Amino acid sequence: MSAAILGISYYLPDRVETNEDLARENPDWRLDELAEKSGILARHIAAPGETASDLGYHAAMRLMERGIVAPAEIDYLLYCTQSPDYFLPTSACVLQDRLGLGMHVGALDFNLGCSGFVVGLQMARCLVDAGMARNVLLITAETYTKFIHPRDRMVRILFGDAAAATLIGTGRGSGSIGNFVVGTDGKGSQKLIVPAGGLRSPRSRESAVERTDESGCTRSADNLFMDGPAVFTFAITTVPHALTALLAKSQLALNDVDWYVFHQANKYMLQHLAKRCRIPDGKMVVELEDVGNTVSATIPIAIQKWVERGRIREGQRLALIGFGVGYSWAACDLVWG
Amino acid sequence: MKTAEFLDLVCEALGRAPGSLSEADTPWTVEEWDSIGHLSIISAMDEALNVSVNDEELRNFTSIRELLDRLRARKALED
Repeated sequence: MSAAILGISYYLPDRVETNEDLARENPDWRLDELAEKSGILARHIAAPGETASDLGYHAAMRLMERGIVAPAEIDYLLYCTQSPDYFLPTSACVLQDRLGLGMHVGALDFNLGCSGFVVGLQMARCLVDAGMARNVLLITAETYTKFIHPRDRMVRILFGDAAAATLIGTGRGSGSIGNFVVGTDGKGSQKLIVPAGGLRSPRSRESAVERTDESGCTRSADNLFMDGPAVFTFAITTVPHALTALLAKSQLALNDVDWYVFHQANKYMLQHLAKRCRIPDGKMVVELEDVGNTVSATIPIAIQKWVERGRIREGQRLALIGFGVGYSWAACDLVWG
Repeated sequence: MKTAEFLDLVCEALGRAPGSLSEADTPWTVEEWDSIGHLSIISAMDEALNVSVNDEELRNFTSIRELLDRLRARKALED
């Protein structure tokens, strides 16, 4: 028996920001057109003082309350975020205690964005298949909205906050996690970035100075910056190759996959990728209307929503691809069950 | 397709009035040329031009002038 996903839960913060809210605040934004193309009508926003690890805690508690495995049988906690509670300690250590996991647990943070879920699955599969962990709890949690300047249209319409908790262990049914293809291109590191706040460029009076670019977006070096055209170009030139490599590795044809669950960047991107990748009609999962782009949580949220609706069923094969900040990308195939 | 027609195609993809873009424009000078606008341009090119824009050309697509130069080099434009 090999490693499989045993369950997924997710958590969204209470506050919902709709496109109507954004339109009232920013009457100069073309929200109808942006909503049509992005496919995003609302996003959830973490409250002041509510961190990604808080969201991750709630997602993990929902998962553990389902009783799939006893908490004592969880041997590893992998926590993916770019919004850590502290420089140190490790947020995963804080979560181990808060979740009541055993002291035998290995716990680590890893800093990735939209590829984080699939990379986390790869690490979890390795731990389980090598016999080094019975069950791995993978938490992917993000609060990008805390980095976003309210007048930066480029990112504000897209991103929302969320967390997902995924349990990986030895498969009990037909489920299994298959092959992986990963990649990194650090030349893209400046294209999606919060420039200030780390040790390279600490926050300062200077870093807080706001500037409005020629396209009308305002931000400071303390805020999230996305060179949208560059990041989107990276995605549409990288993802098709990753998919081709994955299918070759797993000896699959495009039609052998039941559902393609890519990082939910926006609807237009997913439609464009479906065309470029020649994905058969109706097999690309688009599930972000009421949550937006939740970074490393998009893929597990989309899977779980489709499982709850009965669209994704036991025995079906999925192809997952995460891609984004870094640049970083990761693809895998798996059988749900 | 001539250069002026191509520029109008880009204007249409961005939801702008015909003739409102110049070769000097970049994503940073045009409000509508955000991430989704960029994809709109690429989609419009895929459909309207009788050439396949390759990955390298897409990566270098950072201004109207850059794109036009590459399309001209491939004789994808009539003028």
